[in-house]
Amino acid sequence: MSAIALRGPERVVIYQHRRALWSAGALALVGVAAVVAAWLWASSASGTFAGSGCSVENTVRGCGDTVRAFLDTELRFSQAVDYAGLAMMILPACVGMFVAGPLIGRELENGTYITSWSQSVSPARWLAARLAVPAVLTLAGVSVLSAFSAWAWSRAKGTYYPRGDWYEREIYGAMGSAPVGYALCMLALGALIGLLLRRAVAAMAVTVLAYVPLVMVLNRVREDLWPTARFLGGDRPGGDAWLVDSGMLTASGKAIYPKDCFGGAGDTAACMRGLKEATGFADYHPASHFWPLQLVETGILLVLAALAVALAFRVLRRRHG
Amino acid sequence: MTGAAIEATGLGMKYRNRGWALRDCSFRLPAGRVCALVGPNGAGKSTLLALAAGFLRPSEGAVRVLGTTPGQARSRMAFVAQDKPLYPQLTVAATLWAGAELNPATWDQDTAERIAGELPRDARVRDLSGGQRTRLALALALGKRPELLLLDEPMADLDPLARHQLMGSLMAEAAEHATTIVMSSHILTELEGACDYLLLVDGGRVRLGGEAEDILAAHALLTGPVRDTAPHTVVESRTAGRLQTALVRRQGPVDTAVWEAAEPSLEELLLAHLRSPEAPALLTPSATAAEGGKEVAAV
Amino acid sequence: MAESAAVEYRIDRRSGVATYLQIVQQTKQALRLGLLGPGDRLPTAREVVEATAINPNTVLKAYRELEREGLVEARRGLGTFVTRALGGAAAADDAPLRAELAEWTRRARAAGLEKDDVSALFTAVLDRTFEGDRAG
Repeated sequence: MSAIALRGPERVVIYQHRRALWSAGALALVGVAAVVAAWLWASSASGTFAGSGCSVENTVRGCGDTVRAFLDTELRFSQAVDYAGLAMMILPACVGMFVAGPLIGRELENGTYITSWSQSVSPARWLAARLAVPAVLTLAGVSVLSAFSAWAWSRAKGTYYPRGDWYEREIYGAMGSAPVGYALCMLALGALIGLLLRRAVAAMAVTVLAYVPLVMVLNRVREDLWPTARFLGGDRPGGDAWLVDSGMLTASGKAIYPKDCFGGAGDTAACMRGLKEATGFADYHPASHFWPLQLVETGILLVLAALAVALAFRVLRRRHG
Repeated sequence: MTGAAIEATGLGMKYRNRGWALRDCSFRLPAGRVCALVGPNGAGKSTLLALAAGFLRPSEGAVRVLGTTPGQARSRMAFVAQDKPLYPQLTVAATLWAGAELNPATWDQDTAERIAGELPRDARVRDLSGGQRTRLALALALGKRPELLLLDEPMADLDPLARHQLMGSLMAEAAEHATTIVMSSHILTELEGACDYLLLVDGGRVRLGGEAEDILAAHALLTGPVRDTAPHTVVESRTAGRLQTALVRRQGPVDTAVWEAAEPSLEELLLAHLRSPEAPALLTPSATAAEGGKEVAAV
Repeated sequence: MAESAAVEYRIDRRSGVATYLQIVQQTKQALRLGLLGPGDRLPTAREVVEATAINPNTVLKAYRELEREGLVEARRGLGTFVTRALGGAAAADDAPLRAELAEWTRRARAAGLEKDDVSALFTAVLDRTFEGDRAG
């Protein structure tokens, strides 16, 4: 720690919450270690299994137990990756709760902020330290965890229990830059909510409640965050493509979606007439859209975070001069 | 005249649910004074201190501290709140360490250690008694080496011995560094002797302000026959049979042929004012805000 | 650093005597009793207020009064020093004045006066005699 020249307010924040920070770090390490251990176990079992001469697809007599034991280790690894993904989804809410509760809400509730502000520390500086410390730790920690989660997902892909595709919510939200964006956004929201409510428990609860619509809305609009690719013809795009929509393309180049023809509003007869010389198409995101989509989503989250931070400073200035 | 440690002009503070806690306050506290901020509970003392310390934004008017805004003066003043809200999970030593970290420009570890005295350094704040917390809060405040020290009910949790000792330490700081000190209390005797300046706040207004000596000298306790005390302004008057006792604000010399005049004690003076809310306010010239423009009773 | 001062002030808040006057009187008492002599340093304002918890300006006011009476002298950065003794030989045990007062007191007692009566009588005469002098 001595290598980094931290300034007073940040050092005090770290010291005050060192136990929580150490615990969070230890918890993350344990989680990572558990997934790695499950993988090591699975890959060693895979080596043993390869040497046993048995096969999962064509189970011959006498191989039943060997196959079952091998599949069990792979299943266990896959489940560990599942839990890790779940933890990644919960992580941003935890960051938000930590900032809303112990860092800000509790100080305002107990009046201990008065002790800080009575030193040579302005309210704005006090808040800045309470944002900067978790932001830096979140940025570093969640980036590493996100990379790890992507690695675990790619390992799980090669097993008999692959996890979902890259675009599935639990997977998309557990890797890339999105987890960092969510965590930073929740951090800022937590700070704002803590400042507004001035109560630790209430602020933590509201922060969690705010996380749910944030995730839901972004999950819903995600497919529109980057222009889709269009595939023409009867066949569907390949395995790891995220199929967003499909329909028929008329000769004049007008796209007709199923909902246009069978929805309440459309003129079904005219619609069907148009389809006679139409070709089928599919709108989809190829796997190469992963990063553009992630970066746009992260950008939105960071803009939200910046708004929340600006608002938080404004609230502080209005209340306390 | 020395510079002003605090200067309030038309200062007012309205809380959303409690209404006006402080209204139309204009006064001046010269630097280098030890000021008693007295008044009954709920008079607005804490609000006034919180405004000067820059914790609240005034609803109207302004307060200037050490010649600038409270926010700008933050590093040059210290504030000890009534309930001493120190971080409960920190130890005594860690609290002082935090003081050094948060006041890098001014921190004086020796002073802080001296005031902290015999406090066990590895005890957590949440395990300290009220008196010990007060001692630690004062150590934090004085370690900062402030030019202005704002103390809200500082002695409430202390036994008489600790009170005397800590008051002595405060006075020593004031003597050595010419620190301006403002101490609030609803018990005047706690502060009498230590303070040479007085601010009486009552009902959200400043009723008396100035050098304790001058305020005392401006009043007289008259005993004599029941008759008009003109030209003196009556603060409080009582009659018992044919005898009248009146606490008056003097306008010129007292006619000693009629009245027996004595100088009231500070306590008598304050109680008389608290019992007579309609008595006009008195601010001595040194306590009058320069750009106040508000009516000030003649001295 | 000069040797530690030989006088410790005791402040009685309820005596009705102004605090600064109590310091002046106790200093003079120490001078009369020879506890303080020329060249001795009075305690600094800091030392006094730390022990008594009174306002520093009160101590400074008392020292100014003593200086005005020519008993002490403030030396910049060094402290306040006694410049002359008080009372001199008159206060010594074998002084004739003391013997006369002792004799008078004995006679007053023999005449049936209580201690308080003697004290009141003495104070009354004292006040009459020094009437017009500014009390110090």
